[in-house]
Amino acid sequence: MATFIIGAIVFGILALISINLYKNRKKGTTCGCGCEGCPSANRCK
Amino acid sequence: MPIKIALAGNPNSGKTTMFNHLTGSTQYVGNWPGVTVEKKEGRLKGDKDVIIQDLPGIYSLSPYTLEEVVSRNYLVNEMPDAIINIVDASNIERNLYLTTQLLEIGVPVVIALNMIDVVRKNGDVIDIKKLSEALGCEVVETAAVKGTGSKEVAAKAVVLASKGTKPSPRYKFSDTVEAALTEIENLVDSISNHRSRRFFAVKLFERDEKILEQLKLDENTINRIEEIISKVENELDDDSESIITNERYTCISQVVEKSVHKKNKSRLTTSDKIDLVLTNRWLALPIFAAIMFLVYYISITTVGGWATDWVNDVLFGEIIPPAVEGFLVSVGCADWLISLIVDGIVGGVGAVLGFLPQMIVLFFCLSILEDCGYMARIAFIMDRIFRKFGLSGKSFIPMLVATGCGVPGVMASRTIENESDRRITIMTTTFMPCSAKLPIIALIAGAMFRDSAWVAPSAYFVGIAAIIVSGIILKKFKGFIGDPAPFVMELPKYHLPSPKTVSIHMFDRAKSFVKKAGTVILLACVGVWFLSSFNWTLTMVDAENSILASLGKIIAPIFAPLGWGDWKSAVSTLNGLIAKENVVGTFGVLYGVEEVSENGAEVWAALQASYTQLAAYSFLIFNLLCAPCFAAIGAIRREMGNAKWTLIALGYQTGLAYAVSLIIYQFGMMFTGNFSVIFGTLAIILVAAFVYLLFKPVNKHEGLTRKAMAS
Repeated sequence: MATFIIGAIVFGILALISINLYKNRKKGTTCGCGCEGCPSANRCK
Repeated sequence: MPIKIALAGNPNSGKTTMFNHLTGSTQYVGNWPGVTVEKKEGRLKGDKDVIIQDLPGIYSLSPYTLEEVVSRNYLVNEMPDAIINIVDASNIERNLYLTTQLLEIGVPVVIALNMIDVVRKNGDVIDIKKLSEALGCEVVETAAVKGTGSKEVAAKAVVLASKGTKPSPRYKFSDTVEAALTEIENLVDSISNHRSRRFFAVKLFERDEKILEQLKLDENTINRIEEIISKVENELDDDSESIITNERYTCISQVVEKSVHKKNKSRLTTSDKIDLVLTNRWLALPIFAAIMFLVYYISITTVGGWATDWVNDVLFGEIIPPAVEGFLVSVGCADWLISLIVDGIVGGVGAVLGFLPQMIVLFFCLSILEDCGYMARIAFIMDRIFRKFGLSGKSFIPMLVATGCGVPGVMASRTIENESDRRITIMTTTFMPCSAKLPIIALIAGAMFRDSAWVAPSAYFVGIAAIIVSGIILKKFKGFIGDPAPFVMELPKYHLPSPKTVSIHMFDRAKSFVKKAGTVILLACVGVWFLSSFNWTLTMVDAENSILASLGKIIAPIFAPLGWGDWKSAVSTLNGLIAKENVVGTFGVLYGVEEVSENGAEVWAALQASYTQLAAYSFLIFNLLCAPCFAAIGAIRREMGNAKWTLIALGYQTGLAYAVSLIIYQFGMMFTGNFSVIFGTLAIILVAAFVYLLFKPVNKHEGLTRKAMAS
């Protein structure tokens, strides 16, 4: 049971991160380096 | 409809600082030209119906540089509702040149007389009322760094925008020029009723090709305008562009004479006195080297190093992994999930995050150097060196930007007009150690060269040396030959760094580092954990029998001549293509932190056992100079504009990295009495080739012939 719950949390977080990265890349809010929102982000597009 | 207000002014006059203050954003502020390449938008704090637009810094509305084109196109074609013209009050004569052009556009203008605190400190006085009368627009005193006057200037701009009040300058050009301009205004139907008719008339008088193209005039009108211009040129014995420039400066002199009272016109300022030493022909470079040595020494070896030791050895060594593992075991988690969380996530991400303190200290030091005005001098100092091999100091600006991140560094090369210079700059910018490479530098310096002061600073100097050597060599090849473009740069006055600017820069960088560790690095570490924990039949095995080991062993021999031909180093380097921090993250997963921390040994003890110091330094240099991360490769692709030049750039970077690492390792081996016949000889040949290419005379004739053929 513990494996299932903790596993679901870990893989849920990983999936969420992947989706967000993909979305941000598509929207152009990040160059793909993963540091969207950085002070230089406006120059990455 | 929202009100649009544009911030326009000379480079380094404080536009972005004011933009940040008005909109509450934290856009990157730098005191060298080219920081703002494209316009940026934000909503005015407290009035969301007002959009503030920060334009690139420009000296005039002539379309000579990319920044001028971006700003001019926006101001003339899209027309904001009002312009806030930020004028550096401490350099008022030169700044008013752009002002005289902005006043001609026909858009309401408010002048923000910025850096008024510096003027007062110098004992000078500017009569705002007289200045405002002469220019025919509102003038507000501001000190953007302190936030003084920004709100007032924005409020005035909003009122003017609502009313649509056009500026009405009192000054006039000479009668001959005024008559010619009026004649042109009346002659061209399309501009006679235009809001910017004065601007168009002046530009037509200057024979501005882009405006001629835009107005699509018939041949008769063009001939008539040409007659008008020629008549004035003959009368004043000068070309039309110079005539207008002289007229503007004559008007500016009259305005300044009436409104500005300087305490002492010929006195050397404190900044001038400091520059006599810091930019001295002979002292500048040694001082720069000493300062950068100190910055890296403080950040990596001393202050930052102590904090990182604690984070690595205690927080991510003795506290977090045992606590997480203890909890997971107590709740009865499966072994594979414990391994994923402890070895993959905590081990990998923790290894990268461990270097955060060093990064914070480094960016604190760099921010201070930048904010006080010293970093802008580096471009000026480098201009002398770069010019010797055909590049200009303008190429060093992207490299300064790249110390934060290579992507904006590559993008900043857009401001370089000369195509061959731009290509060389793109190819070499990522040699500068960016923040993502810092963990690699810190890891090798800390784990392999304990208490050594030279390793971390050497990474910075190797980057600069690679840029200089590449510049000299590449300039001798077809496609790169050419004279350096002129580089004009205004040196900002030295001032005490603003704690706010320094802390914003430092915390923004730290925030983006943590964010990256929690996203891209985390995913990559999980990938590495999976590949290093399972074999091809998806059975859990030890790392030596894993999928990653079998793949790594295929490519590892390539790096054997560099001294690190083991599969772990090879896959770490390849993983660095996702993000450079991944090199350290991968080590964290592959070498593990749990076992070594349990018996109290240092976290990176396992790594120390796998490398000699020579191999570790060769590994560091290869990872510093080789192809950058995918994000930077994407930026190179976009800026190069085609796949061929992108491949040339990546091939050159990786080839150079391999050659330099090979030379370092093989020469090191020679000196320790372990000469390898094949690779040692190859290293000697490579050194000879470098020396030959460095000293080979430039074939200028070839470049000129090609230029002539092209034209």
